[in-house]
Amino acid sequence: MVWSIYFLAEPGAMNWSIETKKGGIPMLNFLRSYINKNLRFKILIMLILTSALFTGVLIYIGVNSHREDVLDKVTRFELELADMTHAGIKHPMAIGNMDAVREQLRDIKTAMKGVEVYITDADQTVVYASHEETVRTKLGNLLADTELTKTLSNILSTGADPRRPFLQTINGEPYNLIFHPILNEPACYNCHAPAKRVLGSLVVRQSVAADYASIASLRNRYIMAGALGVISLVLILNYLLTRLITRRIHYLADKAKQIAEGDVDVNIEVRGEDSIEMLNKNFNIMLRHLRDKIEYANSLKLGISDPFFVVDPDLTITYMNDAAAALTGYQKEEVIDKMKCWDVFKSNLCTDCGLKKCMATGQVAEAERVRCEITNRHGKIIPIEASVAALKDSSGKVLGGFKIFHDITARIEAEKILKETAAKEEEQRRYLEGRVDNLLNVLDKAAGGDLTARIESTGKKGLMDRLADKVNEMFEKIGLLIRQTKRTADTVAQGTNQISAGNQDLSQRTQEQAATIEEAGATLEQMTANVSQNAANTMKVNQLAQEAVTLAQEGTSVVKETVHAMSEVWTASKKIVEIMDLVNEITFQTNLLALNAAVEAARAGEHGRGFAVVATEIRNLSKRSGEAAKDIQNLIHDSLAKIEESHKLVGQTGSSLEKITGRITAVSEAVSEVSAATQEQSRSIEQVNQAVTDMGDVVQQNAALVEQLAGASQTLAAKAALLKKLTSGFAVAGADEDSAAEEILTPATLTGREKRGTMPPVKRPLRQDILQKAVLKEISPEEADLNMEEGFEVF
Amino acid sequence: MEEQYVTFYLDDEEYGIEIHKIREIIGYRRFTRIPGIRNIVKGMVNLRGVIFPVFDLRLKFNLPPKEYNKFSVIFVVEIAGRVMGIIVDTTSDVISLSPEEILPTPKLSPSIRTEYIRAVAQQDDRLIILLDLERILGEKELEELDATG
Repeated sequence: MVWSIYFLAEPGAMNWSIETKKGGIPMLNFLRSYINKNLRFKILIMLILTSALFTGVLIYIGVNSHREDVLDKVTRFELELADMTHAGIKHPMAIGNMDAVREQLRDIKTAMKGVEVYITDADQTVVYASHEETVRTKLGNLLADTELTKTLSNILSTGADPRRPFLQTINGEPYNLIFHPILNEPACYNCHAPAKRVLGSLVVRQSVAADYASIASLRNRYIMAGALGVISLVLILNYLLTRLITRRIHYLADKAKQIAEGDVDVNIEVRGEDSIEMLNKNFNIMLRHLRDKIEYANSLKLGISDPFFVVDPDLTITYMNDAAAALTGYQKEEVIDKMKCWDVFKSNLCTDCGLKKCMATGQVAEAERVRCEITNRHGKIIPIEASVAALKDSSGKVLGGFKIFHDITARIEAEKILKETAAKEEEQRRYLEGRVDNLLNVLDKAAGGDLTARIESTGKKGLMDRLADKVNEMFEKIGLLIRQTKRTADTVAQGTNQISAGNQDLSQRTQEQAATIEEAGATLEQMTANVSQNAANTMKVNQLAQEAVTLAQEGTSVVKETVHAMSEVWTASKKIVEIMDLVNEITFQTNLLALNAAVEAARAGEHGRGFAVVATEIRNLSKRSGEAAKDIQNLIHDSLAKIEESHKLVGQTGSSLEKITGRITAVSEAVSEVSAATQEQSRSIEQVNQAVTDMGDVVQQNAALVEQLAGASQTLAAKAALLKKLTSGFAVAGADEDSAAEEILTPATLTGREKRGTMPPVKRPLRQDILQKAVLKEISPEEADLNMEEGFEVF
Repeated sequence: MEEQYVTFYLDDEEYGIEIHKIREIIGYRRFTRIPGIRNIVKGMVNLRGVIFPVFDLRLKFNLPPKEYNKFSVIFVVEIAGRVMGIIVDTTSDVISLSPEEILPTPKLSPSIRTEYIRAVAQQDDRLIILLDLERILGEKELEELDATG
């Protein structure tokens, strides 16, 4: 029941059905509250409503479809009846057998109860009818319905067949009507004019009261069955729901109520795996967690070894551990739930209780631990250090507070001893500071260069006195060292100055040398270039000479060819001359013949005149050919003479060319020799050039070395000057001439440096300078340091 | 009345002979030398069965002798009923001369014998010496010939 209450606490969940009728009627109010409290009843109502709705819909659909079915059948029957009647009367009417028509209609009346058939003409007047009393009346009167009359007149005018039923109610009884037009056909033309389209109508009317009654009784049966079904369904479902859900939820609700009342040792049975059983299972898990939490809190409480107690909001002690009991001298049983905390502890701070403040403000714990004193049962005053905190539930309500404290008697004792020791140490420190200040003053002066100050001694031979003595002694010795250093620095500075001067001279000479060598190098390079140019030119000449030789040789061969060609021309000309001789001879013979002919003609006298003319013509021809032959002969002779001359000239040309070839070859050989010689010369000059370049490099190197030397000597001079400057900053006691100083300067070093420094700079050879530089360079800083250390050792 | 002449050359001079005095003109050919004959008669020629003596006109005219060549020509003439041949350097032409063109024999120096020259003809630039064949072979020559013949 507890669960259902919780369930209904949510507004508007299941109480909607009653909500609408919120009013002052006591009965309804009671019902509403009952329903609100009863889950089973709610489910029952829901079931009834659902199944009633479902059954109602089913009944409605069933009855409706039955009704439609019945009406459809009636309509179809009437339509068929109309068609059949029409078909049946068509033939008797066509042959004019009116009695047969009447008979048929009468048969319908007897065979089918409640069915009326009317046949009208175009004026709605009944012509034939199953009920003969209606014949010759207007069918409109019979129908007694304006809508239907209008429909009938419409059918008669248009001839359209509606093919559907019309409903009519007469004296509360329902009727179905069918209208069927009778159209004019060729079979009817012997009685009716073909121009008429519609001859009349066939009307069937049937009472459907019986059908409606059957529909109503079926509906009643459906409703009865539905009501029974709903009741049994509700009962079955209600039983099942109660068994499967409601009862099990009640069981869980009971158990939950036990837990709410504080009993966490409840066990809930789990019998299956559906949702409710899962709920049960989770409840068990939840309970186990709750029990674990409680056990954890208890373990914490028992685990604290310091004195510890818990109070309720009224400061009554609700728990106290053994340590607290031992400290206060009370038994636990005497105190718990019986005594107030101030009675037990009697602290000097009870008037301003931290616990009370804590609970009032709701703060979880006081910021700092509080020191106070308590008086126990036996009157002993014990100093303690305590921490307090408020205890709260999950809604933040203060349930009480607790306090943890411990005895700090031993600690307070120790603190007192520590304070006394600190005071003693402070005094000693001040004395030492005084002495150290004194020492610092003296050291300050020394740092500023004044080494004359000395530290006073108390003569107690204490550690500070020994320190003062040693520092004084040290100052003495440093003074001595600085005096010696000053003298040495002077000497070094003098020496380095001399070295510097010598170096400058050396550097100048080296530079001059370098310039001269560079000049020589340039000249040599120029010469090399010239010789190379020469060599190139010679090569070119050689090449040209060889080309000339080739050309001359070609010329020679051309000349030879020319000679050959000429001799051929010569031969040909000779042949021509021979031929010309022959021609001449023939001409001559012809001439002779012509002359003879002329002679003969002359002899013949007058008869030979024509012949004489021919002879003359022949003679003229032979004369002309003779002249031509002579011309040719002359020309040929001329050309032969010329060929001879050319031949001679060509021969001369050939020999000249051969001579030229010989000369040019000689020239070429000579030029080749010149070229080889020039190349040799070029190589030699290059070697010389290389030698000069090497020389230049060496001098350059020399110059660099001398420059380095100059740099080194300058650095040395600077260092010596710096040393002098540094030592001059020290004020030392005693005379400059100190016999002890002489011991530090080793004689070897002194004499060596001095000797080198005093040599005349110009006459010194360069090599020696370089060597000297090299020696200087070899001394590494480490070695220098070593030298210094040696000096210290001697010192 | 024009008259026809056949001309020929001896050296550079052109000479003319009346055409009807000439029987035939033949080329130089070998002739048979006759021993013991006089200088001007060079030998004998057999022309188609007619045998006649041949003279060298150069010799007659005291011109330097010249070697015969294939262009040398023999004029076969009839002088005083005798057939004989005359060797000349070469033949030239047949020309017709009108009487105006024929000049009388010029009076030359006495050293030149002019009895063989009938006249000198001038045609265009040419100067032609017209010979009198009857006279060239005078009595002496004919006698000699007879003696040989």
